[in-house]
Amino acid sequence: MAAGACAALAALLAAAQSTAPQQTLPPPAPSPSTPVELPPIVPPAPAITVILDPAHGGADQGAHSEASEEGAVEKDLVLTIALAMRRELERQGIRVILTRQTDVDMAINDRAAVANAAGAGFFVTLHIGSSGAPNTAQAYSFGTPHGGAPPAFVPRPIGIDAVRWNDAQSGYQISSRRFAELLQVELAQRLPPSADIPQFAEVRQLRVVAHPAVAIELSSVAEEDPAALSKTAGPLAAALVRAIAAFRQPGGGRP
Amino acid sequence: MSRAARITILLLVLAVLAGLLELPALRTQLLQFGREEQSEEEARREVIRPVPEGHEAPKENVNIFWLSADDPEQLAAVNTRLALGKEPQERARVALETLITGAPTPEQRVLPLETSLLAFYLLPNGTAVADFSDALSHELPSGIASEQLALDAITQTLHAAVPQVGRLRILIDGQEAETLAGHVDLSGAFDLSQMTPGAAGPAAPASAQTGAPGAAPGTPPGAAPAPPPAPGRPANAPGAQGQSKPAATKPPRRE
Repeated sequence: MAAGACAALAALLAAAQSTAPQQTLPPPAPSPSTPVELPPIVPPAPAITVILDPAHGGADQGAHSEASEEGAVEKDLVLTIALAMRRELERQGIRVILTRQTDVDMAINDRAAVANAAGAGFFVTLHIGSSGAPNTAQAYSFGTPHGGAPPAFVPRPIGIDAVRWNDAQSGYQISSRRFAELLQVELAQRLPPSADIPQFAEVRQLRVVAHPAVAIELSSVAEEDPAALSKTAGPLAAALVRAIAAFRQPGGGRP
Repeated sequence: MSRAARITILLLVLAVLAGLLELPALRTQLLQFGREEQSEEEARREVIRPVPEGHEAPKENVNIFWLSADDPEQLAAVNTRLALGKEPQERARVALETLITGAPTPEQRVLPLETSLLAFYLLPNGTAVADFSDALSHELPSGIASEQLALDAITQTLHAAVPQVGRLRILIDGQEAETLAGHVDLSGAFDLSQMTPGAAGPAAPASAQTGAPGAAPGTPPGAAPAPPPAPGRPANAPGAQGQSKPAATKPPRRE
């Protein structure tokens, strides 16, 4: 009798073990004498954002080739280049925002609104001039040529923690200049005979952007085959990646 | 001839005589009507028509900033003998008209020949307003470099001729414009007070006679031909003759 009861209890216990959900017990508290090796916590690196602005678009064709009626126009070339640059940059792990992806005419302030809503990043507006040495690139940061490095405009306090739209670049002029310097060095290497130093220009598109911001003007639609300019997308993207990496080095963004 | 016929002939003769008497008045009215048909712009042009050569103002030397003959990417000062006059408005008008129409060679033109200075005002606080026709926007070669060169030529020439201008506001066809031709910002006033007379700016050497402008980036070589001379426009601006040779030294590139 007792043996039968023991056998039934054992069978019940076995059945219970096989069907009951596994209960996980909390790990024993580590004793102070034996610290537990935990894997190091690596925060994900913040993605670098580049806002690419293919200039012009829609009815605004920008510079166009005088050579023929069906010659290349700036608005199409810069869009082609920007789309190719996006592919290259994204391959490098950079987040890319384009102000326009189709042939639309966007106001300067609308482009700036896209950029200013993007959080921290680097702004690059792409242009093609109507003259110049073929396949060269010139970077510009916002500033008056007469004043040189000093700010061209001074932010005017408006009583609240905000900056006037027209003064958006005022807090970034020095970092934009530094970014342009780093970028122009890379452009000179990749697209010779581009100049070694960037220029200042009072570019409206840069003035209203609250990022380190540069304009790149490629030369030019006056070439025999302006469509060949699309081949500059690779060197441009590589130059951008290098310049951004140098800028993000400790002290890299400081003059 | 019957009496009735004679009376009729007499009445007709009287009517013809009355018509002849009225004719001069009618002609005057017609001419006046024709004048009212003139466009507003034409009327403004008449008001600011350049003072003809040979008026009393003594000639003096002043630097006018055109494209360098050696390097079309740069501006160069050309010491020019002009009858500027005494009044700031008159001095500005003569200097800017000369800048538009009086370049030593067509290749050195920096502003479109079709451009007109429609009005120029100098406010008591030293702020000047220069109103150009929209040819300045439409005929300028598209691009950051060419627009910045045009702007620099205007500000530096104006500063050389009328040093008391502290700030310059540029209007296009009487209206405020966001940009000069799509790139360079016209939304604010340009500070001329930091410029040294006839030279680039505070960073430039004070050798004003050689020009040494702020060396804008610019229209690179080989392209962007200056617009052909417009028919009906004088080949030379008032007093454009008597120019000295362009400054021999190439202006330094601005930092």
